[in-house]
Amino acid sequence: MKTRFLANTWAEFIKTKRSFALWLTVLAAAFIPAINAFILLERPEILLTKFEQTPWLTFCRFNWKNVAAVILPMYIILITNLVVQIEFRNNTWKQIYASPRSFADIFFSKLLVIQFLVPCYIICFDCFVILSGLLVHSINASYKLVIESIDWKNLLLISSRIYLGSLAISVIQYWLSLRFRNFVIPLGFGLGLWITGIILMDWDKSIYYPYVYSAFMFFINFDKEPAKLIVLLVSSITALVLALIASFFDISRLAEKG
Amino acid sequence: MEIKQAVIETDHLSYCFRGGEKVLDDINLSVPAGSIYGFLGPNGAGKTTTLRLLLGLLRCENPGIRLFGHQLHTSRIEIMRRTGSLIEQPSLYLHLTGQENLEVFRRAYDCPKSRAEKVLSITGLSNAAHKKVKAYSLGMKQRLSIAVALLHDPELLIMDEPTNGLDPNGIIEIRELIRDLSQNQGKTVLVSSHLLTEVEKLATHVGIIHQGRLLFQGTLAGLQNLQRQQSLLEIEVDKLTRAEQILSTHFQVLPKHGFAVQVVCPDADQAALINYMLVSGGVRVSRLGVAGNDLEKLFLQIISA
Repeated sequence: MKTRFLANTWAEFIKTKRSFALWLTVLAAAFIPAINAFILLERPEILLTKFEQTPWLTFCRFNWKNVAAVILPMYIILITNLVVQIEFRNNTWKQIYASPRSFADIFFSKLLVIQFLVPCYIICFDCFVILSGLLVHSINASYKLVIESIDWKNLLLISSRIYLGSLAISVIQYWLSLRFRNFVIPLGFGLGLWITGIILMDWDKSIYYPYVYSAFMFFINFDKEPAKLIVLLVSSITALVLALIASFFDISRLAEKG
Repeated sequence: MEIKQAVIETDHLSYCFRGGEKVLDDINLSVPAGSIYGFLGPNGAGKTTTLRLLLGLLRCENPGIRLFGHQLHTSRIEIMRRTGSLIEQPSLYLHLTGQENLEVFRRAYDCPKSRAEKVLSITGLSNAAHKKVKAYSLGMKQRLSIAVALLHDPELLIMDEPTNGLDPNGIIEIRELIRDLSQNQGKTVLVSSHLLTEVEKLATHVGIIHQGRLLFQGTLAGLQNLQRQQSLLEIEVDKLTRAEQILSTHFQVLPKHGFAVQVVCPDADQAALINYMLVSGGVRVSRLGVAGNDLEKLFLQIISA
């Protein structure tokens, strides 16, 4: 049973071959570090003072602030849609559901592909951050972004927290992408929910809104407010579990499959 | 006569879509093992809905769907291990090659790698295996879909209009392939079509569905027999009244039709007898032929009854 699931998950990876999924992952990961490298090199007179104390941590936060709030949710909305649309576009759902696979196998093997691509994006992004930092240093040594002083601990900590905060979004988007054949609907819903989250960020109940968790994981200073980290972790995991249960039962009970 | 067990059986199968409209009404399908069952009906008759129900693609609580003697809603995975399918247009990943498409489904069906090569060879696609599917012609896509359906060497094949959109050559290729699968590999094939001529050339058994109701089910020979029972002979003669007098003693003669009489003739062999009776009775026969008794007309009669 476990072997079959792994074989089917591998088959799901084969389907992403030659699709835009891997390109999107790499390009979206490179986008912000490339722009920020350019900004740092163009505006040293303003930025150098900010990078004096903790160059790598400042550089990481400089990159992550855009990604946590904007690029990562957008990437998740797009990649989830893209992976699920492979089936709709090729009319292959019916062939999948007519094969000797359980619904759980079908549902989780594809979700696993998305859950592989999102951390891949984060790892690629972190790599590009380091590469762009090194590039900036090689051109302007005043930034002190040397390889020996890379703040691995904080980079890992920020990345893990933001990934955890984004898990519920990826499941909700997966649910929407499975629910609607027309790719514009999950895309529109996703963008709408994300924009609503940005608007609601200052609201005291926004802790119950999954689309802001990745941004909160970055913007809240947990050294000053450690209790909020626990609340956010619990909220993220709860939202993930609820989204998983709701999406699994809703999709499994669709009257028409394929 | 050998009685073959039914591979597919439905028991008073009915189905409504969400709007409440009944699309299938009391369907009692029985597809014998080893047969090529032509599931015939005009567009919108309920063929695809029936096939989707048989494959579990539509949620249905009806316990009366049995394949291989097992109920679908309790043994779906076991049944699908023994069933290959092709529903409507090809279900293929166009950005992948033929070989990669088979690899994706091979993992789902848990069959050895050698099967992919085997089905490519059966469907005549070995040379195109490494081409992207989007570069395939419709006929090649259809054959690759059949290859996918054959991957796990299923006992039963369910195909929904497999010749749809193909040119005459493609239609012949697919027909030959299906015939070969049934005759030489012993597979049971349920194939739907809206073309009677197609079913007539391929099937051993026929089911005719119209407006969600199964109007005829039996062997092709049975359908042809029904056709013969309703066939008409049209005879052009020089003396219509005399001809009617002679024939009405043995046959049902229809009202006059120009210079010809029409006779209901269940057995085509009786044409010679009719000719003999007329000539012996002094009537000159200038033409004698079958009038409008093809299966097409019978099909139309059945669905419009």
